[in-house]
Amino acid sequence: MIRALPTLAAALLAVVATFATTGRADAQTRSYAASLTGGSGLSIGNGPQTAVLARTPVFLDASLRTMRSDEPSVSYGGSLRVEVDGRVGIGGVIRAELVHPLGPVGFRAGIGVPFFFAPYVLLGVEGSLTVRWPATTPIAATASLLVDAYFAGSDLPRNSALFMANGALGVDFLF
Amino acid sequence: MRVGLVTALFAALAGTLSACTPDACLRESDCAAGFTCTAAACVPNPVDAGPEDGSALDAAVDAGPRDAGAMDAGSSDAGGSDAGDTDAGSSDAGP
Repeated sequence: MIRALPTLAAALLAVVATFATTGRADAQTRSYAASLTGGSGLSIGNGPQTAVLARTPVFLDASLRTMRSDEPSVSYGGSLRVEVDGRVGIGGVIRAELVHPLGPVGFRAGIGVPFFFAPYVLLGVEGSLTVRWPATTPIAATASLLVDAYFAGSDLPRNSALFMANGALGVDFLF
Repeated sequence: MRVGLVTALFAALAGTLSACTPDACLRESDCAAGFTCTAAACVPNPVDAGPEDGSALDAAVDAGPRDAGAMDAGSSDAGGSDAGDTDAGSSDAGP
């Protein structure tokens, strides 16, 4: 898993480069959004005979995403994720979303790669569904449902995987 | 209606949390230092086993043949595997 860290770092750099280069080139047709959310939920893992349920540690997400004006239905971005409940873990999520406004509410469905790199390593996949209300104002409230499946990393016990279903609430800023 | 749906979803999630096992661990970071998560329980990290030929006391006796006489003279539980050293020690320790 340590060998995967350079690949993850390269992926993060690619996301940052997308913001740094295409942002300047398409400044008139690209919009950005940032959000701050916090959440928790349910974790399911391997027990001695059956699956075991536990509460997911509270986490905080600081997200940044970008959308093109001529393709507003697709957004790309990432999050810095920090676990602050019972331990301090630092990680992130690289995410792509489909955006669909529905009346006063905006819906975003996304897929991503969540990971933690300090002090423990976790790697998984994530599906998300986010509701933004109101849909188009500069500041809005958000509610998200996040489904994560972690399958690799030093934080997983041997021969086990971890499934999470989390909810998150926060604030979204369009600029 | 949408607000009610979202509220119901979060209420269902909160209700499910009541079925959680409070002391279970699912990740290594759920356990304190020196413990590892095994079968959803934090257990002490395994300690290295002693030498295969016996206890540490026997190992200390076996490791120092020059000291065998002095150690065996004071020891009341020299093992059978130390018979050779015991005999050597007895010859050294005897009057």
